Amino acid sequence: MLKKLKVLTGMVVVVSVLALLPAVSYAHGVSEGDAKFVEANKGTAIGPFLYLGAKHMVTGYDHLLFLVGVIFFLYRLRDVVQYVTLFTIGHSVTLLAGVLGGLHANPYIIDAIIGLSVAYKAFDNMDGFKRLLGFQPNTKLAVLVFGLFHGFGLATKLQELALTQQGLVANILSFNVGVEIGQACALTAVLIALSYWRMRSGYMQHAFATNTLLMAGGFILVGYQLAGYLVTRS
Amino acid sequence: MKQQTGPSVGKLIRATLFALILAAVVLVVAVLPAEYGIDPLGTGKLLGLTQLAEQAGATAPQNLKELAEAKPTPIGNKQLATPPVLTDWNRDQTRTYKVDNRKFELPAGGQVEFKYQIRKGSNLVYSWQSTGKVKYEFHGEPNAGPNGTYQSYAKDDKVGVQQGHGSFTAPFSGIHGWYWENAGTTPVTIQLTSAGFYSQAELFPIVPKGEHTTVELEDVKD
Repeated sequence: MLKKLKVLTGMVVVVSVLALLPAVSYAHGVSEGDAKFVEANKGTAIGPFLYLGAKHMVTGYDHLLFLVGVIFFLYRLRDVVQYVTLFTIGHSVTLLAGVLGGLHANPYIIDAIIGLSVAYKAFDNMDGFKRLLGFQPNTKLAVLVFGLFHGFGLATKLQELALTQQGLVANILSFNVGVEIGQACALTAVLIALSYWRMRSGYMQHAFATNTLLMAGGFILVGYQLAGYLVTRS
Repeated sequence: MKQQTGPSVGKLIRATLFALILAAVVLVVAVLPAEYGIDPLGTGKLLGLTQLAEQAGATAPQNLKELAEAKPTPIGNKQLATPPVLTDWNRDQTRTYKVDNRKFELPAGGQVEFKYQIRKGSNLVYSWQSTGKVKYEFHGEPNAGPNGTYQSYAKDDKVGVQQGHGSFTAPFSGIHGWYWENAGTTPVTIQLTSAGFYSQAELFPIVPKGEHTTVELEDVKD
């Protein structure tokens, strides 16, 4: 009875956090004030773009949910570093190629795929693929490929702003480095929270339920973005 | 370290279905009303979430429709019960405005494209005149979108006209401007004057063949 109550409380907390997502969604794109800065900016501005990149990552719940999924079952620091490096390579490639190479993609579709990456990783954590398909898809490859999409998502956010050509390369690189700094900050916080939780007996018991909720979070992001795509198209 | 046995297939499917249903509920109850003003169950109104969407202007088309369908109040000695309200009469802009004067000389059959980089919601006031009839299309290309996608705002691709004047609010961030084609047999000169909150301009001379150039625009000085 008590256990059930605990699970229920946990669920209520997670659901309310998920329900609040829209309220903080403005934090996710580049916010209006920051956009004004970027618009008015001329030339190289390393500091501000570093900060914007870091801020985008720390407040970007889609990237964060995916990272939670990725490191959920990673215990050794070496593994964490390995997977996060793959993710970093993936998103850096498409961020730079997207903005500098002028590659364009529909932001809603990209963000929907990012949502899907969250659901995928959660399902993977539940041993879903092994059970259902009989084999385990390469987890490192998946992180790399989804990293590519996350980078595209970062690129579309920057492309929505009219960036001036002056100092473009330096600014984009600063933004990219900022993203990595933000990711390191966010990861540290997530790791601390996870390792604290891991010390408690409930972790393994609730792993399945937690990943179910993580998957639901991914699906919400998918629906949110697909609806946006349909609304803006009509 | 994962569970040795793993969950049963039935448990997996149940969990996935649960995740899908939970996602659908949160979407329909909260996210869609708050983000887009889509409120099938009325929960958005109940929780006051649709205000968020209205703030963001997501329901503007609906309001316009209501305005269009609203019956006009008969003119008489009664005051309007609800005077029409324009909500965004002032928009803060991110940059100082620019004024741009430009001349294009087109030989017979010559074409040119000239577009300004304008952010979503920013404005452009323009006036152009030509010494002869030109076919034209006023259109925009979003910055975030596949190459080659564009939105047409106004055009004449049949007889051609000699002038165009207007005020324009960019519906998306991107380059917005004109394609002109000399429809006659003698050279024409197009004179464009514009003011607006644009950052730079893109010039695409098509005939005679020329390079695409980006034009940096100076800020307006006192």
